[in-house]
Order: sequence, then C-alpha cells, then structure tokens
Amino acid sequence: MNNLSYLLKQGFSSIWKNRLMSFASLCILTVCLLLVGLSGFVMLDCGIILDNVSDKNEISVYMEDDADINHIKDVLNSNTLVTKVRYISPEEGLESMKNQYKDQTELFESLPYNPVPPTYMVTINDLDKIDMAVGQFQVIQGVYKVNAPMDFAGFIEDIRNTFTIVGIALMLSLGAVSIIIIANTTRISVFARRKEIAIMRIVGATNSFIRTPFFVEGMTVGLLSGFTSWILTKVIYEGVFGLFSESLGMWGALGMDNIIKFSDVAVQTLLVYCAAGALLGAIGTVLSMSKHLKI
Amino acid sequence: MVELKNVSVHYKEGVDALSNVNLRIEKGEFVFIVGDSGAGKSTLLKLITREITPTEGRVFVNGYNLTNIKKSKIPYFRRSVGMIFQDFRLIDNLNVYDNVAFVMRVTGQSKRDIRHRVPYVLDLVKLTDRAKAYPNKLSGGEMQRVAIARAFASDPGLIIADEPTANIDPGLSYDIVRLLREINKCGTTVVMVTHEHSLVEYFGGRLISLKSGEIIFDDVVGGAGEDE
Ligand SMILES: Nc1ncnc2c1ncn2[C@@H]1O[C@H](COP(=O)(O)OP(=O)(O)O)[C@@H](O)[C@H]1O
Ligand SMILES: [Mg+2]
Repeated sequence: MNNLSYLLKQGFSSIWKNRLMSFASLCILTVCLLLVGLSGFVMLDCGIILDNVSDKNEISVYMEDDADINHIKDVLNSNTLVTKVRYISPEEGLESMKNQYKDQTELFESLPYNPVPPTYMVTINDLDKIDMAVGQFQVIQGVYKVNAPMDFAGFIEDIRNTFTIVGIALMLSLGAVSIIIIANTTRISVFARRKEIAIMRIVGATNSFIRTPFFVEGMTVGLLSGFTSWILTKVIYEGVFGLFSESLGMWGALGMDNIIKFSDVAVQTLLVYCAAGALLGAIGTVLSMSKHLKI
Repeated sequence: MVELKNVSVHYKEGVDALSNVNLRIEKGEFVFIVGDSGAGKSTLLKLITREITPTEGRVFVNGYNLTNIKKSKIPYFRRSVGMIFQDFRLIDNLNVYDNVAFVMRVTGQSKRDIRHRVPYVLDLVKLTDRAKAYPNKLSGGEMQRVAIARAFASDPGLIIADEPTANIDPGLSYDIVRLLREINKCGTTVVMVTHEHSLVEYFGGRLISLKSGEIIFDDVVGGAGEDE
C-alpha cells in the first residue's frame, strides 16, 4: 500500500515535470478518441436508420377512386421488374398518416372526406431501374400518380460506408500517432530520470518498481484523454442530435427517431473511451520502455 | 562471501580485462584492491555486483551464483550489496535525508524502518546536522559520506567501493577509509579499490594488487598508522 501510493505519486509528479509533453499527448489522444468515437456513432446510427428505411424503399402507385384495382394489380405483377405488390386501402393510408403525424391529429379530425387514394406499394428488384419502372407504371390505366422514393437507403448506406472507412483510417493513423507521442513522452521521462533509475538498479529496486511510475504516467494521460474526449463527444453528439430532433416529424418518418440517444449509452461510452485511452497509453509506454529502459 | 573461480573477462573490442583470476574474500574482511589504471579493478568490482558476467569462470557472492542467476533475482541480490562510486551518484533534487531514504523506499522497506534507520546511518557518517541540505551544497567529502550512508542503509553484508576517495580532498580520504573501517567493524565485508598507495601503507590490511588483468599480489600488509 505504502509502495503503491509512492509509485502513483512518482507517476503523477512525472506528468507534472513533463507537463508540456504530457499535454501534447493528451491533446492528440483526445482528438483521436473523439474523431474515432464520433465516426463510430455515425456508423451505428446509419445502421439503425437503414434498418428502418429499407422496407420503405417502395414505389407508391396512387390510383383513381374508381380504378379497377384488380386489373392494375395484374398488370403490375406481370412486370418483370416487380417483386412485391402490397395494397393499402384509403382507410389504412389515413390511419398510417395519422400515426406519422401524431402531434397534429386535429389536422385529420376536421377533414370532410378521406383524401388518401387507394394505393399499391410496389417493391422492385433493381433500384437502378427505378425511373424505368416509374415510367411504365404511370401509363397504366387508372393510375393517376406514381411516387418513387428518393434513394434514401442508398444515401445512408453511402454515409455509413464513408464513415466506416474514415473511422478505420482515423483509428489506425491517429492511434499510431497517439502511441508514438506517448512513447516519446515516456522516453523523455525516462531520460529526465535516468540518474534515479541507475541508482534504483544499483540498490536493487525491482524492474516492475522502476517501470510502474512510467505506466502510471502513460495510463493517466490515456484515461484523462478518454474522459476529455467523452465530454467532447457528448457535447457534439447531443448538439447534432438536438438539431435532428427539433424537426423530428420529418426525420421520424425516415427512421431518425430511433438513432442512439447519448444519455442511453453514456456510461458504456465513457468506459470504452477510458479503456481505449488507457490501452493506447499502455502500448506507448511499453514500446518506449522496451526500447529506452532495458533492464 | 565473495568467490571468483578461474574468471576471465574479455570485452568485445578484444580487450582482456581479467585473465584467469581466482579470489576468495571471507565474511568480515576489509580488502584493498590496487593497480594501475586499466588493470581491471573496476571490471572485478562489476563482476561482484553482477553488472557484467565473466566470459569464463564462475562468480559467487553472498550465496548467489552470479554466473547463472535469474534476471528477476538480481534486484534481490543487489540489496545484499552496498555500492560506492568515485562520482557519488546522489540524486540532485533530493536532500541528504531523502537520498538515503530513497534506497530504502525503492527496495520496499516500511516507513517505520526508514524513520528509524536513516537518522542512525546519518549519525554514523556524522551528517545529522546536514540532513536537510541538498547535494550541491555539500563538499566532496560530505557527498561521499552520504553515499556511504546510503550504501549502508539497508544493512548489506558487503560493501563495494570503487575509488571512493578519487574525487575528494586528499586529507579527507583518511576519514572516508576510517568510516568504511568502522562499518567493517560492525561485521560488514568491505572491498575498496584505490590507487592511493598511501592509504594502504597507512591503514594496512589485506591487499590485492592487479596488473594487466592478473592478480600479482594478495597478502596482508602492516599499516604505519592507527593500530587499535
Ligand atoms: N565496457 C568496456 N568495453 C571495452 N573495454 C573496456 C570496457 N570497460 C573497461 N574496458 C577495458 O578493460 C580494461 C580494464 O578496465 P577497468 O576494469 O575499468 O580498469 P581499472 O578500473 O583498473 O582502471 C581497460 O583496458 C579498459 O579499457
Ligand atoms: Mg576503474
């Protein structure tokens, strides 16, 4: 116990003596964790949104009130692009609209008649041919309007892929930079204390005793970076989240209302950040010690 | 206590620092080692402290076989040996008291032991009133006395001193040797390397003389001064 507090004190005092370098490593580590963490959040959120919208990737075929809906169904089914046709009656359509705009139900209560036309929701097998399909559906007798979904899923998928690549690239490059910086900090600390270290060896201090303060130093910088970047992530993520939730009506329809709430994962995120920071700190310290503190 | 059997040390650069040295030092002895510069004196001491291993032969110290000691055991072996150097090797930003306490702390001794032992050894080297002073405020003689206090702090059975009087005023060399002899009286074995023949002539005792890596003399010689 006596020893542990002594070693901790040595580690902390080393951070202070070496504060410029410690601060530099803290900043780099923080930026690294922050960027990687934010990319992670975007990736996860995109996944959630994709799950929500992939089944919304349907073409809406609105029909006249007096159209021959069975005939139209046969025509649609005979089209080689079509894989699925789903009927939505005007009543169902109105219901789902009411559900989507829960906050403004009074809008619907005062309607003199049901404005929703009978609709077929059509899924096609090749989203690239969506324009062709729309053209073909439009000329069917009894169809008055065809709505193609914008390629929202594809758009989200692109975002996710981009952030996956960016996230991994950041993780690798900034991770390496962090480790190098930490290793350099350790090297400088070892150098500053070389005389003490030589004496410790002479008088019989164990290797772990000699090394522990440097570990404490590296891990503390790592943990502090974890904590700092967690706070920054929280501020940034919640800021952006706030932007979306203000216009939730629209985003909700696109599955945005399901994205991760920071407060739900705050503790887990803090743990992951601190663990990652401490790990980077430990790796940097070990690398440096095995090179500059051969025992 | 210390035993070297057919020991040779060849440094990589083709230097034969020691050739076929045989040596035995018993518990409680006080031994002077002399020799010209480059004779191999420091090399001999480094073997005893396990800073280096012999190219040939075997080294035993304090019951440890240093030829095949495990790396993890070396720190524990070192605790049984006190070392003193000509350049003192004190920590500049620690005062006298803390320089001595430092070695006890890093070898895991309790606060209570430290509080008892440090004043005792500082009294022994007559530095009680300098306990709060920092190394840069001390004379060479005082610094070496701190180093002796430090070496003696964990009560090792063996003290190794490599030219401890080389960097202090000649007149004060005698005080340093007297101090080491006092420690020796308490039962600690002392091995001291020096190139000051006057010290040996004055104090006498067992003398080992090295030349070009070989022992050319090993016997007890009489001293001119203080016989007690
Ligand atoms: N690390 C080393 N590498 C190569 N040669 C060395 C090394 N240390 C000492 N020597 C050589 O070994 C010989 C003995 O050195 P040393 O034991 O230091 O002598 P002394 O202490 O008696 O002056 C000298 O010739 C010296 O140059
Ligand atoms: Mg020498």
